[in-house]
Amino acid sequence: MVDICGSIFVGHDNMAQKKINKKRFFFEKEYKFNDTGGLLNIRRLINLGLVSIFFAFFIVLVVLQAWVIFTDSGLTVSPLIYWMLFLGLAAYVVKKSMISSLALKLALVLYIIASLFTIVGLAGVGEIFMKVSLITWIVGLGKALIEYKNVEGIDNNHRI
Amino acid sequence: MSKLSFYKHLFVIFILALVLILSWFRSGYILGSAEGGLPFNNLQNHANIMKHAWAYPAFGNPTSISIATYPTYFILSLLEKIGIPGFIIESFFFLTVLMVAGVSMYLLTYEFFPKTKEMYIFLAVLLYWFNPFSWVSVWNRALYNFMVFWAYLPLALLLFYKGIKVKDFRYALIIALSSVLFSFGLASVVFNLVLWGLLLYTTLFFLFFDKKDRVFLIKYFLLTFLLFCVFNFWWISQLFSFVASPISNVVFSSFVSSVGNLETFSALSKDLGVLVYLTRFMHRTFFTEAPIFWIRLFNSPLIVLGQFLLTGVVFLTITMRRSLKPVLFFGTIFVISIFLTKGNAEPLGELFNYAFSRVYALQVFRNPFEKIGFLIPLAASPLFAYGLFEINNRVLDIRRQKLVIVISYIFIGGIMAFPFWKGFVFSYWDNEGKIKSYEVKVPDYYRDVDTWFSDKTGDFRFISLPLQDEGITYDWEIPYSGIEPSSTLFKTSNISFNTTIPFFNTFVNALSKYQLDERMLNFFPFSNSKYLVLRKDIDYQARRMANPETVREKLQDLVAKKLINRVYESGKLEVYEVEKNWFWPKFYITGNIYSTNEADLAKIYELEQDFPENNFVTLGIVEGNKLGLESEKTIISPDEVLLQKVDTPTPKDLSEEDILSRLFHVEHLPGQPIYPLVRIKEKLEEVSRSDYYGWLIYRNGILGKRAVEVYKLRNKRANEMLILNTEENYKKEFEKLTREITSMLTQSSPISSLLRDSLLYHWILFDRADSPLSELLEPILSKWGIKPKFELPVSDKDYVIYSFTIPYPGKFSLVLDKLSEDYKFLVDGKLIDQPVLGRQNIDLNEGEHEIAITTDERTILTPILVKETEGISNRDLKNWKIDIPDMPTTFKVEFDYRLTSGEGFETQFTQNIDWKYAPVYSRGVFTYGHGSDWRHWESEFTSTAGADTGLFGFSVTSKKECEKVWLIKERCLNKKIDFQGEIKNLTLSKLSLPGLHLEKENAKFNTSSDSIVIWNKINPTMYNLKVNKKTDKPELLVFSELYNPQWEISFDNHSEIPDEKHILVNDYANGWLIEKPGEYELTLEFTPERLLDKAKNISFWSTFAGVFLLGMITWRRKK
Repeated sequence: MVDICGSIFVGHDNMAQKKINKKRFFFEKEYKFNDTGGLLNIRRLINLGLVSIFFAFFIVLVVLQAWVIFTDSGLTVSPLIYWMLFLGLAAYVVKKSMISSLALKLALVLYIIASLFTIVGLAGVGEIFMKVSLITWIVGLGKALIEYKNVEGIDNNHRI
Repeated sequence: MSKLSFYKHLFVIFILALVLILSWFRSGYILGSAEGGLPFNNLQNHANIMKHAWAYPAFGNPTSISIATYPTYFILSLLEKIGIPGFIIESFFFLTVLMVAGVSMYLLTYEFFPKTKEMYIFLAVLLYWFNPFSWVSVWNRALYNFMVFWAYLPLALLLFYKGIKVKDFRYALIIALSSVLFSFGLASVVFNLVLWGLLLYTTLFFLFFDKKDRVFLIKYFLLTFLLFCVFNFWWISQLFSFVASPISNVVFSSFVSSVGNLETFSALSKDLGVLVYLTRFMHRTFFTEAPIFWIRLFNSPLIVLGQFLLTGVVFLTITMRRSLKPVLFFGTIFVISIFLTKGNAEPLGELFNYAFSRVYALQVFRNPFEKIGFLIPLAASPLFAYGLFEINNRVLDIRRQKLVIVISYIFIGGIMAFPFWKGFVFSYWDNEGKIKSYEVKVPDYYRDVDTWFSDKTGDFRFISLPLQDEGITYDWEIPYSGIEPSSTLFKTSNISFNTTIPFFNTFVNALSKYQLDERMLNFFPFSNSKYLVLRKDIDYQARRMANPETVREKLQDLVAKKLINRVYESGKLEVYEVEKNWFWPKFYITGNIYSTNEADLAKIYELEQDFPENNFVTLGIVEGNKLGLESEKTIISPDEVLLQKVDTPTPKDLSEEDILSRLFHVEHLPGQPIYPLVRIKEKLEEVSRSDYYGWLIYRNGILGKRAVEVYKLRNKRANEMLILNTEENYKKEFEKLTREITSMLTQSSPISSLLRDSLLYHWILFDRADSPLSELLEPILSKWGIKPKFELPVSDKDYVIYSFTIPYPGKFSLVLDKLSEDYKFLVDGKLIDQPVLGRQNIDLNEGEHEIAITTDERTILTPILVKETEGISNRDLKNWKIDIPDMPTTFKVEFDYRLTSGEGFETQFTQNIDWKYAPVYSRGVFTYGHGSDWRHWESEFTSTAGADTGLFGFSVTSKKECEKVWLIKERCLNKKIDFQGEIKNLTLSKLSLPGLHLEKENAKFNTSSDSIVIWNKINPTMYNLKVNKKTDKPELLVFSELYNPQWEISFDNHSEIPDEKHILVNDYANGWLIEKPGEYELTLEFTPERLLDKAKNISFWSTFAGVFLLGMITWRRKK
């Protein structure tokens, strides 16, 4: 469904992508100009370490949450998982300049999965996907606002 | 869009709205229920109530922000005056609401998405009208201000946006003017916050993108806000006047607490913040718990699919057209409003907890669904219309486009709108799950009785019986169920329900207990009540109210004693007039003063022999002291009375090490990285429930760990949030175990003493660490007989403990009404000489004291049902009829039991006023796996006001049994448990503790006060008084209207009686200390009315100037 409908707006997306790519090009050139060689490698290493720790912790939490569900224990791990998801996603979008379309499409896919689970009667499972979807909508829309401001709008026909 | 096209669509919207209205009002009855009441039954009454700063019904109350509804009620009351029936006026009101909402949504969608075809824009209108939020929270709620706010929201946004778009300040003026027209919808602080939050967000959104327009946007927003405040100054001034008054503190502290708000907020967030429902605009509990099958159909897969597709279009539009500013604008509102509406539910709900506990004002959003939820359909409707248009245009061929359009119209305008077309949005289900319409026809006899009262001269009230809380169900021919509507039914001020208005609530709470007792008459003189109305047309079982027939029998006794006379009857209403001594005027002057903390005024009146011939006044002990008044008599009643067994001394001298060594060891505290693993370990080590005692010992140990954690964190002065969370953990753990602990403590089990001791240790730890949990635990421990405030010696007898707060030191007479043989008498834990029945003097210092008296069962328990042995089983459910005393009474039930089959059963007490499936008392009795052993059971329950008989017996209990379906889904069913066994030594007794109070008599009462006051009522906020004070002794002038410090009395030379001489008297009324003897005139005024007069002028003239200015500018531009 996403692919079919995604193609509706492909013209606009290409235009937006081009502008963003252009921006990224200049940004990356500037970044390379400031490249400090060895220092960069250490920074990358630290980043890699942080990301690994983040993922490791995240996976531990998810496993723990699964265990909590199956054993019906009273522990509450899920808030932490959602916070990590939110911060991780936000960091990824900011740090990696991930375009909003990716986040929003991911949110839409999650929404569809949540809907399907709910329709077949598994509202509890659907709710989990819907929560992740909501986080992704928030991050994606935040990014979309920044993108819109940066590229000062794409479709002038619809400009207010 | 051409004008013709617009008018064409306007006409279609009108026709649709008209069809809806015709369907809703086809029977020719007004619609009313729930919290909305019945304003359309008598609009002139409502307009009169809302006209002034003081609303006169019951004991009166400040109108505050509700005065914003006055212009609407005034206009509608004019229609009523010319003879238009209420249901036609209501249908006109609903038609206007639907039209404004529909047309505004149409234009809003068009303004933001001008290229969208009209047939799609029309879908936005239908979606805004017929979404589930509109159904449940706007129409079914039957709150008229909710409806108006729902209609006004798209209009306000449309006008505000239009102003931004064309950069025209005139729109600021138009919005402000429109807000006056729709002020009815703004009669709630929260709605104002939502409206201004939306407009502020709109400003910031455009400010974020349009740098060059920043100055305009800031000016435009500020101008709009300023004009809004000026034009609406009449109600804004009343709101601020109320908030700034000392009484608002009383309101908030009496009925609203931060903890309570947070609990409500969390509970509602858990229930309603479920995203798979919110994204479909649905109120989860309404759609899942409704006993009506067609409501549940909205959870069927096909409709759920349709609803998800509908929201899917919104999300798809956001995803694919994020490069459009309007999409971003509505998209962000949509997502943010879903995020806010879910409250503190996951994800990221902690943000709300943080904000909620720090910003007190945010607590008005404790039900975010019903407040912020308005924004969800507002944002979704235009996005849906535009999204569907885009998808159709770009993907589908014309034939399929038509199909999608038809399906969309059928789904939104047919399936989702089904409850609207059928009028089901105005229906509720009763206790038996039967659907009932909101259609109401007030019987004509109400008009007769109202006219009869209106013909009487003078200021008086009447009291309606049976009397209960705010909700009522009338079994009229076309019945009514909802908020008690007597303020609309009668022009005469009356006391017909109880509500959370400070002081009024105290008075009516006491009064309603006596509704079957002769002492009910004691409340008449003080409340300025002259008549009593017996309403025989209530469905008393639906609301657990007194049976009108029982009340009638009691009233006949009073008639026989010539205390009341039946003076009028019409239909199912009977009016009785009290004997003339029992009616005291609205104003009176007296020097007979009782100082007391007793809220139950009937008890005080009993102490005065000349009552009601001689008037007197009661006031709080502190107030009396402040005024330096020497009251004739001071009566101090206990703050609390407890029955306790003390069989072990309190280990208060134990050292910290001693206590910690008796509880589970705690090494890692919350906040430490390893702590989650500690909790996992606890879970892994948990003992199986099959070893019940072992399991309970372990869980009790874990509860102790939580207590130690709180103690250690507080001693370490750890992060406040962390401490709060840990305390919350203790509370949660404690609540989970409450039932088990209660069960263990009420029977002699091997672990009872262990539980008692450990709970006591917890309390000592909390007390030493200054944790608020000590206050939470203390009364519970007292109730469970674990700990009195002052330690009492171990005794084989029970103690009755009376807790007093003594305001000043002195010698007090102790007044007792019954004592057991060989009793011991202790004050603050110290044994003193034994008093005799009646009076004995004791010296007490200022502060908290406990008087304890040993008692035996014969003194406090009166057996009314005794059975030596009885066989019990689910096939032969036994019950016995019990007579209930006229006043609410506590009963104690105890028996031994054993079961040969089954895990438990239920003990029940069903009063004659209870609905058959909701007995006043119902408790499960379980065997905990030891069915064949004899076990002891004890429990207490209290009957409710108005009940006179009941059935005590045994019933089948049920157990929740869950099974996993597909590994991840759990299906739970409540299964009834069959049982068979026997009971012995069954005793059901009335429990009545000896009455005890303290008295201090200073002088004898004056036989009468010669001072006279006569008055002239100008309006509900102003009275002219003529006083003839015949003594030099200070006296109190009593005004029997709800106490409010904003009532002020001034002399004819305009000097005022100082505020400190204005006090609360008779539990609810106003009293002023007057010292000046002689004849003089006074003016009594509710001061916010002065502000209202000025504010009305400001609002009126500024609105007039606004209209003039707008006309001028428009005319000049056209020219």
